[in-house]
Amino acid sequence: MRRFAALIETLDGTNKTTKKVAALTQYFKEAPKVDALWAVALLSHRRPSRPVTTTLMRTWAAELTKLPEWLFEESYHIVGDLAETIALLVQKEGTASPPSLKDCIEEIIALKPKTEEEKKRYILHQWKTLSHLERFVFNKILTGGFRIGVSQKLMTRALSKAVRVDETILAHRLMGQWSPQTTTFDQLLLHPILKIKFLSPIPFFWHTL
Amino acid sequence: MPLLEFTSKGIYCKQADVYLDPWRGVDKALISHGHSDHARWGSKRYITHHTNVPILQHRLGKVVVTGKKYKETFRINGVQFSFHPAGHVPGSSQIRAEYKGEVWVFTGDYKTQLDGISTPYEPVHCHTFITESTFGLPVFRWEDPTKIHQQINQWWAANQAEQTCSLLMGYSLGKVQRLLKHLDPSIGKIYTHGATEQMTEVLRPFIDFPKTELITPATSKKVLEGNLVLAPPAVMGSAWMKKLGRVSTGYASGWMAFRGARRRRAVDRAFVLSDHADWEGLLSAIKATGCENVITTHGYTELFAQYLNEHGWNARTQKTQYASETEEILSAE
Repeated sequence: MRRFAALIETLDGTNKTTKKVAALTQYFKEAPKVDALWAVALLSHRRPSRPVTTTLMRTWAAELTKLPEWLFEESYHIVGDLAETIALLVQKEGTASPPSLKDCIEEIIALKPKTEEEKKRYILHQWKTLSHLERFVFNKILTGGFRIGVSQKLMTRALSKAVRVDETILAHRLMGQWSPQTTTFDQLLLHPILKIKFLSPIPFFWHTL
Repeated sequence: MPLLEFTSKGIYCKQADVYLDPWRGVDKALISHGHSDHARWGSKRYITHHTNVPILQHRLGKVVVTGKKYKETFRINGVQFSFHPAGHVPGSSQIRAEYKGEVWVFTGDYKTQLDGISTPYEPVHCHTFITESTFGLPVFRWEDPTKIHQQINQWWAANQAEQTCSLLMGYSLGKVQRLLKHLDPSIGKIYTHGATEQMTEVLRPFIDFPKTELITPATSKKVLEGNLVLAPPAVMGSAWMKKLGRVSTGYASGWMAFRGARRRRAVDRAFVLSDHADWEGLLSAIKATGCENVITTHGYTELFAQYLNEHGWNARTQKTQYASETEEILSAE
């Protein structure tokens, strides 16, 4: 989570494509593969479905920060982004070891069928223990709106540099239905089982596989 | 009749016939600090803290200006005035006015954080507190500035390693000197834009700064490689900036607290560093004055006043011509 949050900060802080690709490549090289696969999923629009409504998040955040609800709403209106507003208003420093990206996302997925009270307890705990930046990224995963100026193409280019597999081949392997919960980094990107090629919608890719 | 009232020319003390930070020319003006929305041209006589005297003379030309020490009291027609440290920029003062036991304080701009160049903010007891509220929203909470200065030096060192010039932008009076004071000269040389250099020269007699060198048309791109340039934000994207060669741009401002604002600025690095009080700073300052009445003058005035009203103060807002958006002053620099 910490590494991924730092990546998001770097991506957010630069307008230069080369720097974005370099930061992504470094992340894909250094992050544990289970986390890297979730990062690929998030950056290719495969996000866990939202376990709580934003209305609930707003109410809980106002409660936690002890701010009157109108002031919370005004702050949200001015900041313009709920994930960021909550990250700014909950003033906690974060603990030494946040959960890994994989664990964090899988916890969010597991939240869906739980009761409102259980969801609240989990989310408030995360808000109180994550750092500002991690809290922002956590909220972004929770609300599902991750726009950080990285296209899937750019992400694929960086991934290609990190794993040394041709960009077009990777683009093909990333197509279709897959989830980090049912596949691994190696299976999906490095050693896909052959039958995938028969499912391919683009025949001219076959010979490259 | 209130001791201080708000007129079309500025904050007015009728008993003493003086204005505080007037936005039109008047006979006698008490000035809180040297920023252009507070120290305006056209008054016959200015009274301010002595550090502001050369700043006013630099900005307003030949004006009649008297300097006072902090806490030095002086009377005008029975009203006792004094200047008290506001911690905003060098020379910045709160203005205290007392008449027949009633005390009003006008803050100008202030911050409760230490910046290493301004005399630290001191709370002043009063009945009515006229306060700025530029960052009067709970989303604004500043980090420890030493951390920000470390980030700036790290950014510079990383650029130095790539032989790229670091262009660090901030407001010419206060912010740039605060940045300069905390730069690590062992990383490289520090160059300045004309506006920055002039204001820094004005302040050098009061504050010990690292050495700077003015950029002239003769300065080559080659000598700037790996070094740092201090300049006002208006240079962003200008022909002047293009002459610096390959640069990494950095901008220091409280407004950089928001992701959206950072993206709009489109700089390579944004540093959240403000010379205004944040939410906690404003609240702690108000509590420390022991005041009953609060008048908010610029910034998120209405929201801040509403919050204060709900928490036991008698607060209202008053429209003034002080820039609530520091960005406006920045682009005018």
